[in-house]
Amino acid sequence: MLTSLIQVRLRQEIHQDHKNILPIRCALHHFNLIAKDLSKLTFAKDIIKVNCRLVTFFTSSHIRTAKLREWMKDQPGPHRYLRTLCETRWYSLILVCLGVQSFEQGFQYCVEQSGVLGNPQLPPDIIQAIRNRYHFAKNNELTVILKPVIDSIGRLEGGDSTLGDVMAEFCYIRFAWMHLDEITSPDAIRFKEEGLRILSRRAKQYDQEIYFIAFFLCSKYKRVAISGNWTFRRIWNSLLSLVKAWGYTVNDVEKLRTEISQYHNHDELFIAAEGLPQGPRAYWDLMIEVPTLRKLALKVFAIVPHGAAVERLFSILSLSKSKIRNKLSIDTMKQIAMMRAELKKNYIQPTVGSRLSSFNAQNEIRSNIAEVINNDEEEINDHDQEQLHDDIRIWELDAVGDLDEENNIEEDILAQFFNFDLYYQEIVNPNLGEGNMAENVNRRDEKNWSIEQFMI
Amino acid sequence: MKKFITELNPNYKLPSRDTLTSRIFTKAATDLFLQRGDKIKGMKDVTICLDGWEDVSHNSVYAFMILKNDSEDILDIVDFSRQRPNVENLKNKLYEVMHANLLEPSSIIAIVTDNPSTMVSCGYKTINE
Repeated sequence: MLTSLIQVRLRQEIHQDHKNILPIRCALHHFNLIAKDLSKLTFAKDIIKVNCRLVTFFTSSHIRTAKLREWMKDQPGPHRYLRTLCETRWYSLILVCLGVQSFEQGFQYCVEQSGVLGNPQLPPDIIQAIRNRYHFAKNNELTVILKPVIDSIGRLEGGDSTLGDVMAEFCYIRFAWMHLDEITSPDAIRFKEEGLRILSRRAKQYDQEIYFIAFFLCSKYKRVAISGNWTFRRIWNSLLSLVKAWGYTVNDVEKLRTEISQYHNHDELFIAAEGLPQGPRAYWDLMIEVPTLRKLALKVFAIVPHGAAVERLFSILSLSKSKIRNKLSIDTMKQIAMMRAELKKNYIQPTVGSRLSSFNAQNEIRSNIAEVINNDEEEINDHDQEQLHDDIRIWELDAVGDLDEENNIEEDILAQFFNFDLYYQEIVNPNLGEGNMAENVNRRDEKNWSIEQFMI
Repeated sequence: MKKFITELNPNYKLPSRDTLTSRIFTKAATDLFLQRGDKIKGMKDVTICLDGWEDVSHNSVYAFMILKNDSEDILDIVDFSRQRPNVENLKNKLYEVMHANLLEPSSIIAIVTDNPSTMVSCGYKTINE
């Protein structure tokens, strides 16, 4: 039997034995699967293939790496390095693409130098790949599309991420993709649409109450969370079964009902605290006026939604149990791992996520395909253009085939979950929402809405 | 390394390999173990996280970790190469580990594992067939 299947079944069986133990799937693996799905599409696959060829070619020989370094010396700013692709690493894919992107000029420098003054000649396929500006423009677009997913992984990997963040990241990716203005070429747009479909397929697997409860309890997202087909009533009803498993008494539940409806209806208390720019845990820590809800929220947010810790542990273990020390017993390994983990706690490393964003700040998207084709029409020879059209045609065929079968099965799940106009209003552009906030405070005086929502 | 330290200051004396492995490391590990035990005992609302891994000599190793907010501790690392890592065994082992660490099921709120959904559907398909 497959190990992953065993783990899933284990999770379910334990949940059956003890109702208070919730089965949670690792969010990081899930987001990584989105990136993996994306990289399997034709558009991405071709680009990644060429990227890998370039990277392995230039990193496999010291002479070529030296040439690139020679070029790098004259370049300003922080330098990136070429990375080889490693599928089990979370950031590997984007690092490969970013590496190739930042070395575009360097590659061209190598092409100019090739064969001059005893420098080794480059093979024709490498030269062709480097001369193909279309590839680099496509690579640019791929990085732009991949960036939201990788950013999400980076943010979730931190120890302080909560269940609510998982949904927030789904919304973030969808929103970022819907508003990508840099993407202009037709196949990149199609790729993006395919990505949206993948995203909604993946989001569908998160159609579980606990995620929506957590999302609702994030004060920032509470109105977004109940804007779709998960209404406040549905969330409350599923919350009941949860608190029952957690051993709440009737008294507790009654208190909880008053407090949560206060929270839902924007009581003054919550509005006052909303200005505080803090994570959900710190926010609920402050909410001592609503003790029952606070306790519940802190419990929900204490859940760690991913298994990054175990992956880190395995990476520590694989360092100590090497080929040379292959007879290490489990007990010794445990002791070594414990000590290493303890030593590691004493310093904090910058995560790759922050490194990515700092890179993006100084290296904006330089060009899109339309510009490249317009400006350098002479440079692209006929063969390239022919190939370009062929590519588009093939891609169109692929995409049409996919569209037909997909449209019947999949709808935009995330759009069913949430109202994205509201998301834009509240999260992306909060200044717009101020008028609405005042409206909401007034709405408390109306009398006809509350009866239904108080019902269980 | 030894020469380097002696050259720094002839008074510095490094412990021998035996002293290091048998005395110093064991003591450090025991201290850590005891500390961790105290820490885990009082914990409430924790998340258990487990995953499997294969080491260089192809033993299948399962690790159990206990997570809460931003603290993470190793519960146990178990070698599963001598028994089948099926649901029954894993579950028993998990309860065993929890018992050994004085963890009540009531203080655990969630269990996290990885979940490649494509593989899950594939697994279900094979079962159906």
